[in-house]
Amino acid sequence: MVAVGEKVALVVDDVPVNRQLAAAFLARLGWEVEQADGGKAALDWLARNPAVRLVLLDIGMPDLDGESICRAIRANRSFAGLAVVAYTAHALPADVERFLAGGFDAVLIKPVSLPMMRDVIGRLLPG
Amino acid sequence: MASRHIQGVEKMIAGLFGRLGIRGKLILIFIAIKVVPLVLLAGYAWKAAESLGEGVSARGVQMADAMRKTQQQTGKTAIDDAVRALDERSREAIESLTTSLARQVADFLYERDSDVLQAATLEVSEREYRRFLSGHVRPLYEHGRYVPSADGKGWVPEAQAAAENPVRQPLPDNARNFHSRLPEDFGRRVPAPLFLEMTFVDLQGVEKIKVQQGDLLPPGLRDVSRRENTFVKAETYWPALQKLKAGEVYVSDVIGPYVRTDWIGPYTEARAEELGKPFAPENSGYAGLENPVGKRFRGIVRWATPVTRDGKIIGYVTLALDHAHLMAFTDGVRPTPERFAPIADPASGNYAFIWDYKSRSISHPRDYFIAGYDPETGEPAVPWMDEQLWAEWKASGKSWQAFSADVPPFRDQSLKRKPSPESSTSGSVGLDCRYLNHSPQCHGWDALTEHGGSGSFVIFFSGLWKLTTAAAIPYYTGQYGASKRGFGYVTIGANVDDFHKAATESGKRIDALITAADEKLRLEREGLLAAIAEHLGTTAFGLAASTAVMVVLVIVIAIWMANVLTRRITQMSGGIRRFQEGDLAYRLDVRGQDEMADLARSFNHMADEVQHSFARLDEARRAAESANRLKSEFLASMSHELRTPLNGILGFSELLESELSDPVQREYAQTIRISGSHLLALVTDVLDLAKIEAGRMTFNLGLVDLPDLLREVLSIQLAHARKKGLMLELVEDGLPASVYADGMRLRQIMFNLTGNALKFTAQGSVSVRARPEMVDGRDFVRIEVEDTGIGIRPEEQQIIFEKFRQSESFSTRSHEGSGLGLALAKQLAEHMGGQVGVTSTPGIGSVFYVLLPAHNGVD
Repeated sequence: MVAVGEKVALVVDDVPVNRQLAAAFLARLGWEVEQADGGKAALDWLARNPAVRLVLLDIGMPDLDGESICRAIRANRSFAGLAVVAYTAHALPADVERFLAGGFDAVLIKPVSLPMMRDVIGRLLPG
Repeated sequence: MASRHIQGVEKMIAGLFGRLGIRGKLILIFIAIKVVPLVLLAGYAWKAAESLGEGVSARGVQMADAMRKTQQQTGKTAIDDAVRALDERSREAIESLTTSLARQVADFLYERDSDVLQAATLEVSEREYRRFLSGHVRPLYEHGRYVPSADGKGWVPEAQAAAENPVRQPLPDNARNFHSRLPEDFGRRVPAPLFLEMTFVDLQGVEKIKVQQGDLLPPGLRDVSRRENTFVKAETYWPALQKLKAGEVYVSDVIGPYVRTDWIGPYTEARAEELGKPFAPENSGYAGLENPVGKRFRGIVRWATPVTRDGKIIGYVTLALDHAHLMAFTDGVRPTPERFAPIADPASGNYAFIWDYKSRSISHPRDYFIAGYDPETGEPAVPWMDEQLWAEWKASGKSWQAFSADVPPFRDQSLKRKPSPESSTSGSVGLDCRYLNHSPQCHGWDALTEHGGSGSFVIFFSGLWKLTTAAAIPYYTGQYGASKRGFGYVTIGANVDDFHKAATESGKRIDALITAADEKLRLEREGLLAAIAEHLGTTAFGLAASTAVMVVLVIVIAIWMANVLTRRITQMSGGIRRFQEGDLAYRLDVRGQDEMADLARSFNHMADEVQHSFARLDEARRAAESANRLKSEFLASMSHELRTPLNGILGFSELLESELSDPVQREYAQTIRISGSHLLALVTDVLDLAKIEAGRMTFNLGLVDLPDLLREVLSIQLAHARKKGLMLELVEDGLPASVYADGMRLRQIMFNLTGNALKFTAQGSVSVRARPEMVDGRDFVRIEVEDTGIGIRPEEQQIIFEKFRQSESFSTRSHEGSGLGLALAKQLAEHMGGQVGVTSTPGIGSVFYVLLPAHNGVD
C-alpha cells in the first residue's frame, strides 16, 4: 500500500526498455516507482493503491490503450488529484492535442531526456 | 441630333427585346403581326364610318342650306316683284294724281281768266262790283280744332270722331275682296269768296273803285302805280297793266307776307321745352298736324284786264284771288289709301305741294315753307339756305334780293349739302327751289317740268325713301305763257315704303314661314346628325368591342402557340439546369427527328462524357487522397516506431553518460547519445518536410518581435558555442523591431542556421544581425548569420539547400545534422513569403541569410 503523501509513481508501458528508462529517470528525480506492463495490470494496481500521485501512461498497448486507462482514471473520483502524463512516441501535434483534450495533464514525447521529465513533473507536481 | 435620338430609341427597344425570353419574343411577334393589323383594320373601318357619317352630315347640311336658300330666293324674288309691281302701280297712281291736280289747278286758273274778262264788261260801279264778288264763292274745307296731346308730343283733335263702320256685312257672293269706305272727310265745308278785292284803276294808276272782302288787303283807294301802296309793298302790276291791250289778261305772282316759324318740325310743348323756347304755336307758321293752330299764309293772285268804252281803254279792272283756294287743291291730298284728309301730316312725308313758275313754294303743308314777301320792304323773304350759300350771302353784306340776283339757280344741289343751322333757326325758311341747294329734288322737278311735262323719281330724303312726282300746271295766261311750265308745278311726295307695305308685309310673312320651315329643317337636320352620331357611336363601340375580343383571342392564341413552341426548349433548359445543379444522371427525352431532338441527343452525349469524366476525376481524387492518407499514416507510424527505440537509446545513454566514471566509457555513451540525437533530428526534419510537401503544415503568420526571438535562439545556442570556444553575438545595432512570420517556424529556421554556423566553425565567431531591405518595392527584413567557418564553394552553394545533400566538405567529416536542415529552412521561409540564401568564401566563412516580409503586404 502506498501511503498518502509519498512520492509514488506508476509507469505503464508494454515495452520493458521504455518502462525501465522512465522508472530510472523518476528514481533519479526521487520517486518511488511501480511498473505495469499493460492497462489491466495498471488499473488493478491503481485500484489497490489510490494514493499514488503520478501515472505515466504509454498510449499504444496491446490489452488496453493509454487513452482508455486515462478515461477510467478520470471517471474514478478516488483518483482526484492524480497527475496523468502521456508517455508516448506519438509526436504529431494533432495527437498531442487529442491527449490533452482526453484528460491527460501533460504529454512526454519519446525520446525523453531527464531534464525534459524534470521540467514536466516539476510543473505538474511542484514540491 | 434627331437621328441619334432615334438610334437611341432603337437601341433601347432592341435592349428590351433582347431581355425577353423566346416565349416573350414569340408572343410579341405574334401580337405584332396579328394585333397591329387588326387594330389598323379597326381604325380604318372606324375612319371610313366616320367619314361616311361626316359626308352624310355635310350633304344633309348642304341640302338643307340649299333648300333654305332657294326658299329665301323664291320669297325674295316674289316680294321684290310684288314690291316692284306695287311701286309701279303707286307711281302710276300718284303721277296720275299729280297731273290731274295740275290740270284742276290750271282749269281753276283759266276760270279766273273768264271771271276777270267778265268783270271788264261790267258797269264800273261799286254796286256792280259788289254784286259780282258776291256771286263768286267757292267752298273751303276747314279741319276742326286741335289741342296739344296729353304727353305734349303732338296734337289731337278736340272732338274725336267715332270710327265705326256702319256698312252692312256683304252677301257671301260679294264677300270676296268686299271693300267699303266711309264718306271721305274733307273737313267742315265753309263757303268762301273767291276774290278778296275788286278794283277799278284809272289810266293814271289810281284806284277809283275798291270793293274788299275780309281784312287782308289794305283799305282805301290808293295810287297803285306806287309799289309801296300795294299789298305787302310787293305788287308791281301797274307797269304791266299799261302794256295790256283790250281783251288781254294780266295774272300776278302769288303775293303774301311771309309767315315765320320758331323752328322747323313739330311745334309741340315737348319740342319747345327741348329747344328752350317759349311755346307759342299761334305766333308761328301753320304746319298741318305739326302745328294745327299756327298762323296761316295769306296771299293773293291778282288778275287784271283793260276796261274799254267804245274801243278805248278807260281803265283796268283787277281781281285779287284768295290764295287759300289754290292751297285747298293740295292741302287735303294724301298719296296714300286715305286719299284725303282734312289736315295735312307733313311729318309723314305723304303730301302734295305747289311751286310757281319760278320754282318758289306757293303751297305747302308747312306754311312757313311758302316763299312770301317781307311786308316791310316788299322784297322776297330770305329763304332757307345750305351752309355754303348762307356763308356766301352773309359774306356778301348785300340784301337777299341783291345777292340772289347773281346766284345761279340750282347750283350744285346735293343731299350731301347740309342746311345752314343759322338759316334753320333764323325763322325765315321759305322754300325757293332755285336756292335750296341741300334739296336736289328741286333740280329734278325743274328738269321734269320745264317742258311742261310731268314725271317722278325716288330719293332718300329725311330718312325715308320717297317717291316724288312733279307735273307742270298747264296755265299759260299772261306772264305764265312765257314758258311751257306755265303757272308752275304740282309735286307730291310719298313714302315709298307705304306703297309696298302689303308686299313687305307678305314678305315678312314669307320670312316668318321660311324661318319656321328653317327651324323645322334645322331640327330635322339636328335629328339626322344625332342619328348619324348615334350610329357612329354604335359602330365605334361595336368595332372597339370586336377588336378588343379579337385582340384578346389573338393574345391567348399567341401565348398558347408560344407555349407549345417553347415548351420543349423550356423542358430542355430545365433539364440542363438539373444537370448543372449536380444531377449528372439526368438525360433529356429524345423525341422525334427534328433539330430539338438532335440538340437533346447532343446534350445527352455531352452529359455522358461529363459524367464519365467526373467519375474518373472522383476516382483519381479518391486515390490521391488515399495515397496521401497512407503517406501520412506511414510517416506517423515511422515517427512512432523510430521514437520508441530512440527513447531507450537516448535515455539510457544519457544515464550511462552521467553514471560512468571512466572517461573513455563515458565518451562511448556520449557517442551513442549523439548518434541517437542525430537520428531523432532526422526523423523530426523528415516529418516536417513531409508535412510541408503535403501542405499539411499550418503557418500562423503575424508580426513577431524579432529582437526577442533572436535573443532567445542565441541564448539557447550559447552553451554550444562556449563548449566549442566560439564567440556568438547578436548585433543589436539597426535591428528591426518586428518581422511578418510564424514565430515558431522562424525560430526553427534560426536554430538551423545558427546551429549550422556553429557546427562548421572551428574557431572565431558567429554573429547574427538584421536590417530592413526593399525587394521589388516591398519592405523586407534581412536576417544574416555570419560565421568564420570553412566556407562553401560556389558550385556547392545551391546544392546545400536540397534534401539529403551536404557539401563534400560536410560529408568528409562526421558532422551532426540530418542534412535536411537547410532544405527545411528554405521550404519554411518560402512558405512564409520569403527566401533563404548564402554567400560564402571557402576558408574565410559564410553568410546565411533569411529574407522575410517586414509586414503583411495587405496592411
